Amino acid sequence: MSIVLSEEQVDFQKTVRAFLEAKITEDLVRRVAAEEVSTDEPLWESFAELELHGLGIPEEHGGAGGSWVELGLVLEEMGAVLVPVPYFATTVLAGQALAAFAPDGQIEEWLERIRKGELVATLALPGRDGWDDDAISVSAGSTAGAWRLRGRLDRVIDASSAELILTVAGTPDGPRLFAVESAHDGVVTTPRMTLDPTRKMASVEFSDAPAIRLGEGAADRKDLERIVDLATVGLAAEQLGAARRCLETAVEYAKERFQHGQAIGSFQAIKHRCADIFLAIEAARSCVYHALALAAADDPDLGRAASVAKAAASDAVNAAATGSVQIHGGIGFSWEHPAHLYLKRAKSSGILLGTATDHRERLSRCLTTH
Amino acid sequence: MPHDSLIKGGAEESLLPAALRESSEGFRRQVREFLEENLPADWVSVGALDEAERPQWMEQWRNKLVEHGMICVAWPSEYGGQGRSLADHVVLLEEFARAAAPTSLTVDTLAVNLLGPTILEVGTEEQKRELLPRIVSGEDRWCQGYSEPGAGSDLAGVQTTATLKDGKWVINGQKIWTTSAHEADWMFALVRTDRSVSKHAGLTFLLIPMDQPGIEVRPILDMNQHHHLNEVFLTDAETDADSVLGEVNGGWSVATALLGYERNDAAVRDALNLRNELERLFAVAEERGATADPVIGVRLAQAYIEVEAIAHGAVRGLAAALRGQPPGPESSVHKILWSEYHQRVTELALEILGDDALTPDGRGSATHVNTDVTNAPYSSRSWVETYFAARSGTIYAGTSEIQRNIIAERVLGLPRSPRPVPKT
Repeated sequence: MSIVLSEEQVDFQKTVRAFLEAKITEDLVRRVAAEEVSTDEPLWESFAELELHGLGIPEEHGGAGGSWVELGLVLEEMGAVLVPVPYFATTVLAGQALAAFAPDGQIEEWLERIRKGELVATLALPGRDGWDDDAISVSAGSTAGAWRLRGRLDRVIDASSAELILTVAGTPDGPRLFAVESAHDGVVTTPRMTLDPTRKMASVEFSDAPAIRLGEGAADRKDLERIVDLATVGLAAEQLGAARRCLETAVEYAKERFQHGQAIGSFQAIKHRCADIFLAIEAARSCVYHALALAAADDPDLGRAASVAKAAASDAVNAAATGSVQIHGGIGFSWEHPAHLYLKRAKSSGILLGTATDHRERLSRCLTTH
Repeated sequence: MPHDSLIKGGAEESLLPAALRESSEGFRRQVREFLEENLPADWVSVGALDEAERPQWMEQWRNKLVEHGMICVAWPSEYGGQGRSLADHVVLLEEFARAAAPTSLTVDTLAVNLLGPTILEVGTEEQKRELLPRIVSGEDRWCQGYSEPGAGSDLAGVQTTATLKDGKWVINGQKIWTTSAHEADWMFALVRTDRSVSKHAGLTFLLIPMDQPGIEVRPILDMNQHHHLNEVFLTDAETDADSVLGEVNGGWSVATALLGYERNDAAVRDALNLRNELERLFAVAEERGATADPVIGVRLAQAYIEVEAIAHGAVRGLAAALRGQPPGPESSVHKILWSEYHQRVTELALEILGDDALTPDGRGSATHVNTDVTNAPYSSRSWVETYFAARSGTIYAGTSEIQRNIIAERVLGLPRSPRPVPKT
């Protein structure tokens, strides 16, 4: 497979970039960030113009088609502007999870509604212990073929705006994936204060909430791991975009800000810090694009590439966001300047789905006999 | 087992984009056949040869490459090449790496990888016909006369002068850090031909024969006590009036074009070497039980991540080259990534070796800079020498600091740093 973008893909990325930059202003991001629930109806609906809602979901399952490479490029651009709508939760997390299971009538209907932008959905992500039996806080029981969930999820991305919540729950046969409609009485979502105001999270309490089990049989565990690997690659692509924007902003500022009678960007201390951020981004870009190509090709080695990409992109966005604050000086520490929004996003995405260190440990387990 | 899976880097075994892989399959088979037929049956690596027999083996091997058309394959056939595509060239690099076969001699590196492509780009028809076939055949060995005692990072500040006199250039000055000057027949050099203009505008790219009374070569030993570097003293040295590559006083643009050729295949070559070296380090770590230490495990994983970034970055650069995009500043990115990585990974290697690094023994590294050769057998001395050799990577061919300036100014568009006005 090739990590080299085709001309069509390069054009597509440019189109998406121009589209998002025209629609998403800092004011919009800040307005949504200040609210408890993250969404903006006109923006969300406008994604239909580029058929973004169902991207990366196969057409035969009700999606809009397009490969993981296109989806990754969209996520990169969304990361760059801190998209304040539940796209990652809906299209990447829930969309990919639903599409991973041989979709029946109900799942296809959900996927169709996702494609049309009519359904906001999410998936509860595993913590750092993954979906080990001990780490699963929700249990599922069935009577006469009807499943009900009990338990609590501490933090689920965009759960407050989601009509459909997917979660793993323990069953007597091991962990399985379930779908719950949040409108049911047995579901209570409570918005939580978040480190990153542009990535909303809520706790979810299930009290005998009616649920639909997705998929059958023993292959589920592998499917779950694959869903997490895909989400990890998607998040890495988003980090890449955020990192790029942080560097662009810092470089622009370094050209305009004068001290000692010169643009601070002419000082090597600033130049070399910017160059270091660029290097981290370019290294991450190579790893992320490679992982996207493996995702698009349904390659069995995705797990390793996903860890490489997430570790590299987490390091890059951390260097870029912290570097941007430093290069901006005092204004970079202020509430008024957007640098902190990116730093908070860098932190949240650096922790979600495993830190860079977690992924290095995972790689170490894959690559060595210990 | 674990290090075996490392080299594949996912399901792709070739660094080439899929579309190009197929068109080069025929040539790949040809290269494999050549290697099977010509390498000894029990072949391990150049590093496994006895040090005394290595030079002779290498000369014989090079002759075989020439005989079978396995060197400079992407050069046009009228100039001694095989007229093959860049993709085919990458296939050759990959297959040679897989078989642990050398692609050229140390003394060839500059001519084969840098000077040749530059001659193809800016040379006259006569220069192409005369010089290129002799690089391919190994008849002419070249060294690079760039650095001077007073002109390192400030390369355009070279003071060696050349003056036209009776239809000959007469050259006076001193070059330093000249790799392989003691084995070279020719030097390509950046010299000052006009002092009345700004420093970049008065430089000429001259081709100078080494075998003449006006040239004296003195060895410099590196910190491994290896001899590959030299000082070259030019005292009324001479070369023909037409031994100029590019225009007279147009040497700076030739020299910078030449640096751009570091990109295409050098990045692929480096990635293959670094992958092989890291595999060897994983094997050493496993054998010593070092991977049981989670800190070492995480550092090895980080090394793996960095090599992946370098390898996939090489593919991106290659794709740009295959699309005909001119070499850009990405060679600076590659240079910093690999050279700084290489210092970190060799440091890790010495930590894994532990006390054994204190008393290096066994065979020495078969190279002077960068990694030891592909599939080099384990020896503590090789790792220690490679650690020291890695110090040079961030200095030669543009220091890390200069490369960062290039990225900041040419990629990010930051303003040039204030430069002091030269005293006149």
